[in-house]
Amino acid sequence: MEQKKISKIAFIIFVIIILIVILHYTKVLRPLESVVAAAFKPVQTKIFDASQFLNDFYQDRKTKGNLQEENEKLQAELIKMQITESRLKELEEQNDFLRKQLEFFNENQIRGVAANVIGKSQDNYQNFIIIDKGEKHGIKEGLAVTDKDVVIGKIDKASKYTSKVLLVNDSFSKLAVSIQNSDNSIGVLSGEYGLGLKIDLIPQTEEIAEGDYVITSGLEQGIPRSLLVGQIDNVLYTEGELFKTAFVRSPIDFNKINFVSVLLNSYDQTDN
Amino acid sequence: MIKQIIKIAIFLILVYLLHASFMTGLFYPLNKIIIFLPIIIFLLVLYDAKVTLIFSVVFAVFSATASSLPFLLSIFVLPLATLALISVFRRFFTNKSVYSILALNTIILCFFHLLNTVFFLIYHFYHYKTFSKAINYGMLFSSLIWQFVLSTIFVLIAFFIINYFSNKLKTVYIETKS
Repeated sequence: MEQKKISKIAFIIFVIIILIVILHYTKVLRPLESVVAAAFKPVQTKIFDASQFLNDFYQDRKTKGNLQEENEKLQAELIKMQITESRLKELEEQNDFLRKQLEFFNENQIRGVAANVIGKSQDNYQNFIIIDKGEKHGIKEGLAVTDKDVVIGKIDKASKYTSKVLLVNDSFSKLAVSIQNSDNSIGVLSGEYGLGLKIDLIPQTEEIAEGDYVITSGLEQGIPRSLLVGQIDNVLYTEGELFKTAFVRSPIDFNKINFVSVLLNSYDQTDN
Repeated sequence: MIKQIIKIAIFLILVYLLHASFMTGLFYPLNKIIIFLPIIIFLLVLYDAKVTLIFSVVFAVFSATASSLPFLLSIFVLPLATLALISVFRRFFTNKSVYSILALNTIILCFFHLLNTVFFLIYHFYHYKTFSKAINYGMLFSSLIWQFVLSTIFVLIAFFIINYFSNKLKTVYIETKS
């Protein structure tokens, strides 16, 4: 008898779910979803900030705990810096590049929409963040998302008031990039299990050095050229193979993203 | 009745906000705790199957945006896991002891992850090779273990708190005249 009752409830629930799915995809539920999203947004921003505060507090404590280790690291870093000093010319070139990057933003008048992060992925399959701006603010799928002018991801899904940003370090993320080397190598940047970034299928003949800048190539709709993605960390070269893999280091800590910009006229940039 | 609905709605919103914006922003491994699963267990044990199922469906709708799955698939995961839990609870569990609740916690975690994985595989069916390469299995298992451990601790704490303030989980002895 009890089992029969549960079967009946299960059937009703199944019908309700089907109905919700139909109403969702026919956009009948859209006004209700928008009202709920708009109502929750301010609260979610505050709650996420509180959560990030705890996160930062923990990370700081952890860093202090590893002070000895940090000191040793800094010593090694100092030696590295002394070597780097001898490459002053190279640094000047890099400086030039950064200036051009800044000018690029001003000249092309790339308009960005500032957005707060209100949530993150929790499952173990994808690495994304949820931001508090959506279609109503001009956001659409495929637009580039930056943090401190560095590309951190692309809009994966946009609803009226919120959007899902797939981070570049996600394994499912693909981004057309170019390396600032003598060959101006191009490739596709993908994520490594949410931990790092890499560029596969680079011809062995192309010279890539540690520290080379990686920028967007502009070959992808929605993503303008010359946006900084990161720097080459190391290059994996296997003798006898046709291609090599470059590992990229992003200057952004993907665990500490609170505030982002969505580049709105990216579509206009690539279309022109 | 309306009072009950409002109470559940407020509770649901609080759980959703806590889950979507607070837990996910915390550091690893705390950000891996799925707080709504233990809540479903306690709803089932303290209230009834109907309330639990309604909660799971509405919660699934709310949290669909924070899922890696498309709406069509993500909305089924939680209610199906809840149905499986209810079925197991009715068939095999005769009391509301801490052991039963810990077992139910393990069961719902297994069902939830199993369904999530199956649906994710269905969604990426045509890109199976990319999918299998994209998953860091070491990290996946370590976060699953953390999830299980932290969830168990959460359930234990919640059990003892509920037990302290309420009689609903306490053993009841029926006195008979001898």
